[in-house]
Amino acid sequence: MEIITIDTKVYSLRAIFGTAYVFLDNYYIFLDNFEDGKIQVKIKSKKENEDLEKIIDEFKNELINASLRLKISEENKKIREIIVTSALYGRVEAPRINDPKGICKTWEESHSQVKINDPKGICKTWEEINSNDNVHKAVNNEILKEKNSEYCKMFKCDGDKN
Amino acid sequence: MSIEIDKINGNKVGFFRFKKLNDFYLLANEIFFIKLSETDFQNFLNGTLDKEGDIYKDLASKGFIKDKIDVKKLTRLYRTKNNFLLKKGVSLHIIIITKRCNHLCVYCQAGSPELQKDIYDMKEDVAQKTVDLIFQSPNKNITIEFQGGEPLINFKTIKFIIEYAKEKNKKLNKNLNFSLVTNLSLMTEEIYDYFLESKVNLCTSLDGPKHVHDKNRPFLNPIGSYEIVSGWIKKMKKKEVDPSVKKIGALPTLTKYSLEHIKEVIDEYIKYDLRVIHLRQLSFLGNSFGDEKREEFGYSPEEFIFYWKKGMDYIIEKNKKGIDIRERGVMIMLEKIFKEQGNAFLDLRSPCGAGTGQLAYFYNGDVYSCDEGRMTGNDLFLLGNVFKNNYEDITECPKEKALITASTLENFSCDECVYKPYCGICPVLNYTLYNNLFPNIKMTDRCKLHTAMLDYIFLKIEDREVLEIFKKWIR
Ligand code: SF4
Ligand code: SF4
Repeated sequence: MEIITIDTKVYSLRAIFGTAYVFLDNYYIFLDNFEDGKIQVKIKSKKENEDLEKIIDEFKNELINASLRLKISEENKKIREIIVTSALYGRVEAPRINDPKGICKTWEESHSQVKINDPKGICKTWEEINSNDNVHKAVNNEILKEKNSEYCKMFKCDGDKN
Repeated sequence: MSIEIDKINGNKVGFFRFKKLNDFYLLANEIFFIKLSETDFQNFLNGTLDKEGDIYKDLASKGFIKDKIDVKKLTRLYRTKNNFLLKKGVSLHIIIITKRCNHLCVYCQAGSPELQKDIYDMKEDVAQKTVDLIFQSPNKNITIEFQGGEPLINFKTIKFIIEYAKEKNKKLNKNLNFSLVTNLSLMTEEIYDYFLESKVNLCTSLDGPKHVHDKNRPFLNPIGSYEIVSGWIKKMKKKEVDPSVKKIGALPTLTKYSLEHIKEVIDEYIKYDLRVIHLRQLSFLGNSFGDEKREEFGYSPEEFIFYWKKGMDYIIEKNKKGIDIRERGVMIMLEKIFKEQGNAFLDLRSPCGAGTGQLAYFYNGDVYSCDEGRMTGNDLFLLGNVFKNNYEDITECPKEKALITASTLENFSCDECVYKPYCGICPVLNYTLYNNLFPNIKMTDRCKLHTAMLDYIFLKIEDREVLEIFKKWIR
């Protein structure tokens, strides 16, 4: 068994857990509190007589990769949300078919009989909204209420007004 | 190279997932990928790339540079790539028309109950209810696929379904397609003509040359089935048919023995001008796949990957010599990697197609999330019954919601994996093999296989000639 001591001021707990997870297939991993601000990672191979030196180096490299992934993911969280939400924005749910007898009725058939009361245009499709160039503003209003969000700073816009 | 996290320029570095492959870094966001040398990668992270350089421009145009992101363009592309999320309703409906089969394939997942007992066949009343339920799907495109057992054992119900569905569709006007997976042993000229006339796409099983096919797929008696299947393939290939109908497609199932003869298996597909071969790993589903069989016919993911690469190298070599033979698994991944509209292949998307893209209807009227779910026979994948439930009950039941959650890559460590945009996880396999809908995904065989396949693709396209071949495959 080998032990690595990691400073949690340098590497977050999430990065340490994420790294440990990658190694679970071939190693037994145990995390323990060592002293304030330090974590001990105990690594034991599932194979007999394996030299763990290389694995320790790989663990350290993976820890850096995990930290980088986390940083990039956190710093881009908002913009990713915007893209995904915008792309799926305007998705209209089909009215539910109540057809307990299983008699065939298509969505189209039911839909043509349903009058959608939609004064705020919530049920508009993405194309309809986007054709007016409004999709980003709409999404902005919905998910970026904070004025000083990353996105607003980046695009020099005001979350409340835009 | 040592990455210095605190030097990363947060205003410049947009979202990406990454992996080091040999001497380059592969970066991918939801839409694009790019390969960078170690130095360029470091400069990109530090925000010190030359702004006039090609690499910077390429990164910027693909949405990797944060302050250059064209949100509108990326949004549009994300939408196009993930269009399946916006489509309503199941389009692939698999009907297990009978549980009976006249073969005794060594890897059989379906189970072949006694040939005489027609209690294992779908009856007309079940068939009618099944079609009624299928047409409740709001999807404009409906494909009905007949599976078994050997479907032709119950040809009369197949015919009933085709006629009934066509009749129903006169009013509903959907894009209605039929396909059928058969071992061809019960095919006759008359049945074949009927399928051609009804535009039924046929697919058969061809495991390779005679010694491989007959070893894997004997009849119940047991005599090999190669002569019959190859005879029909030859005949069908010669036939003049409407170009909108596929003459015949084939799929191999790969046992340990097949893998040892992988080049011969590929040659067999070339011989019959089948053009596309899918080199798939055995799934080990179904009640008949005990440890003994697994030992005899199965293999480890590492063994499979070894032979898969050998097979792929051979396919590429043939293509370089001008022979058009393609591998379907790679084609699907290539479409995901290179095509703007992506590929909504049901097993490689997030969430997967279980209950959202496909449903499987068992001969007795039970409805399962997908054909593989049906093979396990496990209650978890049983979503309802055509006599008791309607489409809404089935696609909105709690089990279906669990399957969606359990196949959404963002819920797993996949969300950090560079291959996430091209990959998919399978709740049926996870539950059957690991007894867990949420296993450590990196430890699963399927993850190992997909990682190996995608590594292979991204390394191979370093060779321009291979890149051109791959692009031709998906043109
Ligand atoms: S299954 Fe494996 S290869 Fe696929 S995205 Fe998840 S971690 Fe990556
Ligand atoms: S559960 Fe598995 S087999 Fe079924 S659709 Fe999903 S990925 Fe495919």
